[in-house]
Amino acid sequence: MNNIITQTNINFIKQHVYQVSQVNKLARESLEKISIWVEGEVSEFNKNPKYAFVYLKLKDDQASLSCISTFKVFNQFGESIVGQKILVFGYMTLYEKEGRFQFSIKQVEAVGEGLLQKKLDELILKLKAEGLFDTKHKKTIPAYPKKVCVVTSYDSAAWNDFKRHTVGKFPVIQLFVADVRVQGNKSVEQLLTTLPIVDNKNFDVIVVTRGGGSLEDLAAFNDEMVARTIFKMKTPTIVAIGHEFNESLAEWVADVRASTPTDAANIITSNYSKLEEKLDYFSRQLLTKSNYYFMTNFQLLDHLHFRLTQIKYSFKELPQKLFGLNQYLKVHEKSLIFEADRSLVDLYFKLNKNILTKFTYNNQKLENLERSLFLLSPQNTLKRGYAIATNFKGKVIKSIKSVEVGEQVGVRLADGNLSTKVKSKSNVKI
Amino acid sequence: MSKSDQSLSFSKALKRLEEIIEKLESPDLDLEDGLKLLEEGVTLHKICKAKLTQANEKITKILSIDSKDPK
Repeated sequence: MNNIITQTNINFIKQHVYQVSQVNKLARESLEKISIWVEGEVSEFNKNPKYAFVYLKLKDDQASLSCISTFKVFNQFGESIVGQKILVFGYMTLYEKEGRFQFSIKQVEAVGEGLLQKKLDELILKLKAEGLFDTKHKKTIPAYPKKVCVVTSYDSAAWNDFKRHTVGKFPVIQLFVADVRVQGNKSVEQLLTTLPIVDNKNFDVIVVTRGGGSLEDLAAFNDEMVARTIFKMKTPTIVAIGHEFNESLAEWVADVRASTPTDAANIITSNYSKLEEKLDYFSRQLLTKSNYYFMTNFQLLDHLHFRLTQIKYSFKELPQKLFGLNQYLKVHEKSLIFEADRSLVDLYFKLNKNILTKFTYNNQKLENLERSLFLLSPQNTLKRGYAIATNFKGKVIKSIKSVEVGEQVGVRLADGNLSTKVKSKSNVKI
Repeated sequence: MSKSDQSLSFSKALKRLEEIIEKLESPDLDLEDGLKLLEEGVTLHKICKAKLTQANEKITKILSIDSKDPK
């Protein structure tokens, strides 16, 4: 190329002057003759439905390549394609208007990690559609699990981490380990054999765990059969695969997902830890409350004792009180007797007076009665000039009808009796 | 003092002691009754204090042992 832009060739170039658009067209046509396979990691991906095309960038560790394609070609890929390595087939081309070089993709295939991820994504969608991830299937982890079985590699850091964060803290937890290969060819087979066995051993919880790794390392835990086996397990199962950001199919079907082996251990011991905190709290409470209890009761007893002593004093004052009373009596003795005597005399006079009054009253009453009686007597009537006539039998004559003319009649006067004869009778006109 | 005083629980003994003092503090207290009550009260106070001291010592000991325990 350098040869072209030499002084000697200037004249030649000047004779064939190209327009910009012509250059771009020439370049595009030349480029489009080259159809190749390209492998690269997707660094940008723009699949806006409003666009006519799909725009993406592929890169390796030294350069990047702008790519264009159709929706149809990238139909099966979503935004998750970013970061994946893909294998694309197409040709080089140029956007003439801007002279921008790009690669037009006609076919795409996931490679390596990308392929695995694609398969995994498909599997996740499939199992999700079947309802294997539904919350209704998730079993509850017992609050205080005692018999815990860990399905992991015995030599792994995962096992040691888990052990340290469970029995290391709470020896009451009994740990059992089912040693399996957690990566490599034999891994899936061993998991498929081991999981149903431990599921029938009446463990409180089963923990399937391993440390982090590449997608290929974790392949066994993205295996469909392994996932289905974990799903079918009757024992509550925690799956903790890899580091914080690794995610596996096994975790999706587990009853509880933990990010790391330590995280799984913490889930198992969370209530034990709470219990420990509670115990600490109670222990502090015990001290405070008992201190308070004793303080108040000792004080109460002291106070009661004080009151008891006061009562003792009040009894001690009793003789003094008695003496006081005695003195009082002595001082007032005479006046008291005099008072009593005087009241007795008063009473006597009152009594006498009453009797006399009553007597006089009765006497007068008697005299009055006597007088009335005297005024009404027959003798007294005779004295006033009245007479009483009697027949021969001595019976008082009250009517002229009871005597006959010529009959003997006695007449009584105040000072004596007369003997008379009836000469005639006549009625008195009243 | 009745024989049952020793066997009374702390709270019952304390309650009885409080009752006694209230009775003793009433103005129409009979001398003979008062003496009996006073005697009972002093005994109950002694019993209560002994029980409380004993319990306090025991609990202080238990709690200090507990806090020495490695967790």
